[in-house]
Amino acid sequence: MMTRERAGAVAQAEPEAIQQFLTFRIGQEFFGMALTQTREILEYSGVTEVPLMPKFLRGVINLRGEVVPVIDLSVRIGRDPIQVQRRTCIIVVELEMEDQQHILGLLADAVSEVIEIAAGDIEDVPAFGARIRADFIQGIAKRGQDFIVLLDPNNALSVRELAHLVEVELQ
Amino acid sequence: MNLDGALQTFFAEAEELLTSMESALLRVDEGAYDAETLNEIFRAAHTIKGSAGLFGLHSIVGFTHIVENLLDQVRSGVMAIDRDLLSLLLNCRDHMAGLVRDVMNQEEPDADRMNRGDRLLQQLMQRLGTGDSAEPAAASAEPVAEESTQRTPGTWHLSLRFGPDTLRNGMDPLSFIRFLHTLGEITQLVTLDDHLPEAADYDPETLYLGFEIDLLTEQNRAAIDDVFEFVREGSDIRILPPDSKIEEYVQLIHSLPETPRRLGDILVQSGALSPACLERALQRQSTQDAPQRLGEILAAQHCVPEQVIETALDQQKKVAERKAAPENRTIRVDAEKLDSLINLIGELVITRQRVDLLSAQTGHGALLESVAQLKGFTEQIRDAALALRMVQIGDTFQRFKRVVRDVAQELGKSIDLVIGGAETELDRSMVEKLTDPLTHIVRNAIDHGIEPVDVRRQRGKSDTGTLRLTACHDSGNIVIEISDDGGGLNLEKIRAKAVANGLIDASTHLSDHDLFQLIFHPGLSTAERVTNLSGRGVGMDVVKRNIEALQGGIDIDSVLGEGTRFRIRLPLTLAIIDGFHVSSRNTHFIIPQNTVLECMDLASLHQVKGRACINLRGEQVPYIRLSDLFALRDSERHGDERAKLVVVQFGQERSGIVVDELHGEIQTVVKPLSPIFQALKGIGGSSLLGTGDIAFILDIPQLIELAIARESRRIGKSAVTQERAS
Amino acid sequence: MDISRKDSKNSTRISISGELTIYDVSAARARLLDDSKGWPATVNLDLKGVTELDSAGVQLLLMLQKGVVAAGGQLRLPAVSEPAQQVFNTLHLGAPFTAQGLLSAKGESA
Repeated sequence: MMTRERAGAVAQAEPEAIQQFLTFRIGQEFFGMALTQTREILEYSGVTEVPLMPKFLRGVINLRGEVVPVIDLSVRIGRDPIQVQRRTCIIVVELEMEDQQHILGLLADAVSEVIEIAAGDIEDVPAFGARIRADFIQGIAKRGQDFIVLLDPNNALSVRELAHLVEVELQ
Repeated sequence: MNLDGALQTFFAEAEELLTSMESALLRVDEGAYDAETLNEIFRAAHTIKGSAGLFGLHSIVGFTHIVENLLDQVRSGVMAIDRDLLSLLLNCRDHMAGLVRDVMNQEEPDADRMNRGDRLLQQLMQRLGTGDSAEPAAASAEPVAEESTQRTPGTWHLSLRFGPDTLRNGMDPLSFIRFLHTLGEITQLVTLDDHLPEAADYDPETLYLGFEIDLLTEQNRAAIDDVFEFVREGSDIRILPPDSKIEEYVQLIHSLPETPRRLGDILVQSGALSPACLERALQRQSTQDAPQRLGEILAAQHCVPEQVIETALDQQKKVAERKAAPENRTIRVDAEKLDSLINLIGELVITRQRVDLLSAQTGHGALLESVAQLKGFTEQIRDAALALRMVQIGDTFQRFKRVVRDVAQELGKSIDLVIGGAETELDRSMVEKLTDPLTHIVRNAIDHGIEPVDVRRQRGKSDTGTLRLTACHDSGNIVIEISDDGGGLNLEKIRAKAVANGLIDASTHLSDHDLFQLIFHPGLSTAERVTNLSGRGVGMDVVKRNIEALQGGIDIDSVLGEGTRFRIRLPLTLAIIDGFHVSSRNTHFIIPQNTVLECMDLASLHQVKGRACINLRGEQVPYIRLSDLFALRDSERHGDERAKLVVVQFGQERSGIVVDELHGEIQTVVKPLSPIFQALKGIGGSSLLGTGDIAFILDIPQLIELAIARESRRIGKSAVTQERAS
Repeated sequence: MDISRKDSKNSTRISISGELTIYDVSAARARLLDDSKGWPATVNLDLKGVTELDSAGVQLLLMLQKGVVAAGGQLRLPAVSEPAQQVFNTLHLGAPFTAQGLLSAKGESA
């Protein structure tokens, strides 16, 4: 398990315009999520399936006494469900929506590293070609050869939208 | 520095004062026209104004000042109180509450609030006879001279020693002194600096100054007292009346701190007796052979009026008595702290269960014994902690006095609200969720239940209808009843309407009970006249849903022409429930214990042919397979030969739930599921098992509804209604 | 809050401007009291720039006066702003423009 403390230690001095992102892999694509919104990373050790749920909702886990839903981000962005492997993990994110604190788990194929990206290096969302809903993306950063899709969790993980999808599935 | 502290106190106190103002107004409405009640109303408004002034909350001060003026006229008998005036005052109270809320939420009053305030001010002005309503601008913080009062001004002496933390708490003696200026004229003021320490000991945020003030005012003691309402704790505030009015000394003696003290001290402190005079009396007492009592000597010397001595003696006695009785002290606790304690105890309960499980595997006698002991204590702690969160339902009931009054007045009916079992306790979190459904039922009862006066007369009933709100505990549940002596439910009308709306077939036979239950069906209302209060056919279904969301149930009993009674049954708390642990296809579920009737092997039961129904001692009981309903899969094969059936009951409805395994009774902590799962019916929450596994708590009424909905999709609606009715 | 101090041979002039309230007194105390040793006979306190004064501020000024008096000197108020004057009036504090200093009363109730 990698805690945020350790992850945070990677970067110390931070000029204001630089933001830290936790990067992770889903399939062959790399994604980033603002470090401030991630709480911890758990090794995957199974979930309890919730009856009748759509595919993106993998189930719930017991996170030290809290019952936390786990989302398959791959399904959410229109790819195939994640196959559980040795490096599969759950990124615990903390979101504030409609004045309420929500804790969600995100299933990912692997977590790679925490990187620092200067605000100027974040490119705008391309109008098309990203194969992913534009409002899920906060921007795109380049890292060596790879592009990193910086997620906008407030849209990609909107609790209201997820609840609506569940409702549709149940009808 | 915690500047918020004092403001929070203000909010809490303001809420209490507004509540007591409301209940006092309602008492007046019920005929309590005594000076004490009127005074209570006046003082509430006055204190709120005063305190708001200290925090510079001008919107509250300005409005409340006008209300206070009116109240003063009422109190002094210049203005007679009538129903309209009461309504106006109640509305003013609501507006004050709104203004306080705005400050609390750090919001500016919105246009709606402003308009309402202006309207109320106009009405107040008209009442006050300054009806040229071009002057709602009088809502400034500047007080208007109180023309109605006939009191003679006198010079009060105020000796003020504020507590050392006053500044740190966000208050400034300057504000108090400025506020005193609004009560009268400060003729003399001395700032005392003799408590200023040496430079080395000086803490700039500690208050060292004291003040001696002469205040020339027409106000009474209470009005001056109220200025210091919020600093009294930790401060030494003494207020001496202008002259030797007996009454005022008596008042002062009553307001002395209740510590045991000698008669002489009481009299001197009240200002009724000068120290020199006391000295003389004591001297005389010491020279007597058979010493007289001090009181007698003082009376004989005409040092002090007899009545004042009596009061002082009374006070002495009262203090002695109070000392003898154990003090009943309460403390205020932040609700969040309490909730987090209850959550922790929930964790403790779960951990204890895990320890239970593990120790059973060891078979170690002494360990098992300790664990059993641990179980006992855990349960006691749980009960004690839950008891902390219990509140009496009386406060909630009291609120309905207002609802009843307003609705009854609007409809031109006269109604008596009788409250019973006000001391019955239930979980604080339940109380909040109970208000809406109760309000709806009460409004409904007044609107549709209790007949108009002419009808009541025809039926030989008294003009005034009676509405009863009672609560009591019954075997681990709380039962709340709302009953009226009105017209009762008309079964034929309900039936006709249900048929017209296609809920049932004209030929369907339903028991009275089932017909009553139909009024909880969406889209059924029996009112012939649609009023703006109820009768639009929305509501009763929502009421039922709300109650069920609280794991409770609602029943109706009604006799045509005699009245209707709603009976709500609720668990005492929502945080921790007793459940029955089962599993189906390796998914764990908890069935709330209070719904479980019995468990049996499915194979042993006689199944009704072609239907998911068993014959249970002659009664047909439909059942649901959890694995079907929730589409549960598992690699293992599960045959019916080992399946178990749990018979549950909700209201009058009985159903079977087929599961793979029974695990037994369990005490469990409810963990609400994320709002993402809101649309999922039949599962009300989750819970952690001793093993760390997650179990889902079944919501039995929803489950039954869900099963019926599926069934009806399959075989058509009318057949189901018939089946349920049979 | 801003405090400046100008020493001359026989007197010291201290000017305070801005707010002198509970929020400022801790900082102001260090500037005003901690180097109060060796006050000359006369300390002139210029308050014409004071925009807000509360009880905590008044206390601090009284502490200053106490220090100056203890050192055998006296405190004068050559200039007082309107807001500060109002506070002095409310608290019936001395006659600030005289040589008397801020406060002469000594705990006798009227």
